[in-house]
Amino acid sequence: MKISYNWLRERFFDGDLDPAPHLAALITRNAFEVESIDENEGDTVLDIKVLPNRAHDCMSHEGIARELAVLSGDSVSYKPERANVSKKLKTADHVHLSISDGVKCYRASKRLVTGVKIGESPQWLKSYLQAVGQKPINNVVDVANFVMLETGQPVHTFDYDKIAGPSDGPKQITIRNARAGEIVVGLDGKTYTLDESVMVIADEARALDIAGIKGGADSGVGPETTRVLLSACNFDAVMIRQTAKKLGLRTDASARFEQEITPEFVMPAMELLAAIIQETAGGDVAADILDVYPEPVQPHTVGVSQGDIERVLGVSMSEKEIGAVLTRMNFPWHEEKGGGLTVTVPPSRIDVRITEDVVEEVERLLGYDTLPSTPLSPGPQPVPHKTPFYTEKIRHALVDAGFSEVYTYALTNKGDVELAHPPASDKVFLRSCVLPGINAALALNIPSADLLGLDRIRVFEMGTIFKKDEEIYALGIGIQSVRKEKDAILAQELDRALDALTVFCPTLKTSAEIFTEKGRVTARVNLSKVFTESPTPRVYESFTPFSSAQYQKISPYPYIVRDVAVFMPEGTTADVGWDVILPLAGDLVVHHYLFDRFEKTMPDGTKKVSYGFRLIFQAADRTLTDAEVASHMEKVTAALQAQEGWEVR
Amino acid sequence: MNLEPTHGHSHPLSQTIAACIKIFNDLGFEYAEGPEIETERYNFDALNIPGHHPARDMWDTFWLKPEQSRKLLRTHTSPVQVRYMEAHKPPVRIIAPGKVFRHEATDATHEMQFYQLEGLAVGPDITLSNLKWLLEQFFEKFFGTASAVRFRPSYFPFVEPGVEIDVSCFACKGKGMVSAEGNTSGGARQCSVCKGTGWIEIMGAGMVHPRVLEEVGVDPRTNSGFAFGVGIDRLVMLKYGIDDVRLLYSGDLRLVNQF
Repeated sequence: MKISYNWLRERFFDGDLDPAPHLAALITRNAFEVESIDENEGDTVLDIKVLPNRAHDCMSHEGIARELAVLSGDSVSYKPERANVSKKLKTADHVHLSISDGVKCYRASKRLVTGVKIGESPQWLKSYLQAVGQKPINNVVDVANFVMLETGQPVHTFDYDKIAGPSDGPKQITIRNARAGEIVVGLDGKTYTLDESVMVIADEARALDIAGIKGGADSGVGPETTRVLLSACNFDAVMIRQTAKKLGLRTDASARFEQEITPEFVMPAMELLAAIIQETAGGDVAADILDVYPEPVQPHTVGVSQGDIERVLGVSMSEKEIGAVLTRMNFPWHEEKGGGLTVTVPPSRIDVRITEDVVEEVERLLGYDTLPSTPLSPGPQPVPHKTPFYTEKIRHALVDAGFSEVYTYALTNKGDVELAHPPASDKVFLRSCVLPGINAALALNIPSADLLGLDRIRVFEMGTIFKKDEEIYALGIGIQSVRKEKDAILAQELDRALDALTVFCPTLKTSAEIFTEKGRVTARVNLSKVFTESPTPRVYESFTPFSSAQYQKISPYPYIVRDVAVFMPEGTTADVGWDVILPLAGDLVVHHYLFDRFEKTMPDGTKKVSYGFRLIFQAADRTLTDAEVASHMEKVTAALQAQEGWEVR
Repeated sequence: MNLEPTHGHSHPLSQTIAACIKIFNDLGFEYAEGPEIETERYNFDALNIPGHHPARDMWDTFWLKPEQSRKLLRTHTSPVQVRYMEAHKPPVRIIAPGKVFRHEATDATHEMQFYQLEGLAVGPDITLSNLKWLLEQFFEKFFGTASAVRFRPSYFPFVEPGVEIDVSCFACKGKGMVSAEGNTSGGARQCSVCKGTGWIEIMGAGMVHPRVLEEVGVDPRTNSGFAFGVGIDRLVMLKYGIDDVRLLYSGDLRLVNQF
């Protein structure tokens, strides 16, 4: 919610307010996140993330001002304008107001203002509205917008002369449910077809607007308006929310009603609306306000005690201290004879309903930085659970066998369980098998084999798969060749891996389903079943430290492989070769490894060892050229050749 | 081909989850789990998030067909709290890591599936100050350095009070600045992990709402509890310096084999 600093300072604090960064810090520590502070044409705008449970009273400058005052200990100095009423003008002579039976409108009020002159709004009003991102329109409609942003109560203005009925009234205004198929053309120019679930404010001929959500085009205030009917009502939050959703229409008004505003906001908003319209557009304001308020809200009381603070927070406070905080919050309270305090919750605070809500308010005001840190009392010894125990054993065994772990997507393009609203055309079903993800991972990594120094791609995944009525925790394993080799070798390697797992999960190998194709072998296992057939663990394996590696950004540019093979005198280790190669090969080498080694007796009888050194070149920011790499390789080759007894092949 | 022995690599998410399970186990919290397909009741209603309430907007939900079944992919691991408490009377101390799903557009910091770790303690003497202590202990072991924990006011329908929790930045030890290595002028620069604030926003938490306790047959006058939920992917990305969450689910060994 965008809040104008000038608006707060001028209308609520008599021009005396701490600078915006101070306010932001105070609000952040004790109330809401302040997302940004922006300077905007002589004003400062705070974008405050009002929490959902305070949207009913803090989506307004008054709400924020009062919250600030409570948090800082300052007082609010708010002098809302009052209209000069005309004794001769009575709303009741011109309008009859009623709420139809069973309609979820909890309060309706109307007031007539005659003799207005529509024009441009005064600068002060335009500045406030523009600061918070609103567009000024005219000196009546802008005031309605202003009143909502100041008090949190949405209000509306009708052109009295566009309402059906005798010219000087009385005109019948009814809050009722729409009829099936009833049409309202909104102020936005769009046509809305309504049904009985939608509330409308109607005259004797038709619906004038979509109540609580959008005004109607043919009853709104325009340049020719001279008589304005002011309207402020309170509607059921759930109904407004459902209607807004159904019509695809979310407005500043509906967003507030959705949060359940107290009906007690209606009167102050009505008074302010009339007063400022009179100020900006002139006119006679009727002395009376029609107010239909079938069930006025009753005060709500909540109990809170020393014991409650102790129990919830672990903080020790005397009842006197609790009372002092409640007083700061403007929550009237009194002590109960048997101990404890009874708090009367102000009508605007519909979020405070139970003891814990009061406890939160108290702690919020004191500041959570005052919360102590208290050790938990010892509890029962936890029992190891099969899932994490065996998951970890399987993971370690496969990693030791050279497999790397992947996580793939559960949402996919085929399966037994379907999403009602898929986010993408290839994410419609929940996966019913772990192998498509394994196969995709195997294929994905083939081009990186040399980069990573892999002679085969080996992956595994453990995750949930979804059958029609069952979730299964599954293991998928895959091995992929990257060069020509016999398929039997892959099958053997998989077999050895499964054997390693079957050491601790006895039924794992027999439960595995194996699939072979050219250059690839995969297996899947129902771990849910296998774990039930494995022994119950007594203690977790000890904690292995994390990898301390920091992620190096993966380069999107191609890599270049360069090999150099060298004969060296027998007994020379490969490290000696790397010591020569690496300093000259340069920073662009991202990986290096030995790919070949053999011993040979030369024709002259000397024994030599041959090493095949592989270098992987890659840049983070560009495609390397052969020329760049070649210049490094020339230096490397020359240096190797220069070594005594070494020969580059 | 590559003569040097190659071992495989475990995924950074797994390493992190396994570490969390063990650290919490040592702190007295038992592992619990629940299904990824949940009912509306366990995912929302029993957590004090009724239908038609604006609070439902806090989660973008994947509903399943047929919609009348009211089944969905769980949007958080909190349903496990409810299931566990229905089956176990207090005292309760559990953690529940698991995959959760949100119907959100994906980008470098948002994915449709990710991992959360839920924690719950319920008993006759559990308070919010116990939660502060527990998290200080956990983060010290997790980051390997003494960690301060900071609470700020927040709102979730299933806890009251509700808080957001920040942990002191492990990279700069809460100072906000790191010394630049190899910088001949010896100057310090702003810590990129915490953006110079010294704090990392890490989780939401609070005292379990009395209505949630009542729903599972626990008397809120004699028992209280705290609950917390931490996003594991974010923790992993911060700890390892991974800048795009989608990399965690790509199956790309150029990521996994770095760890």
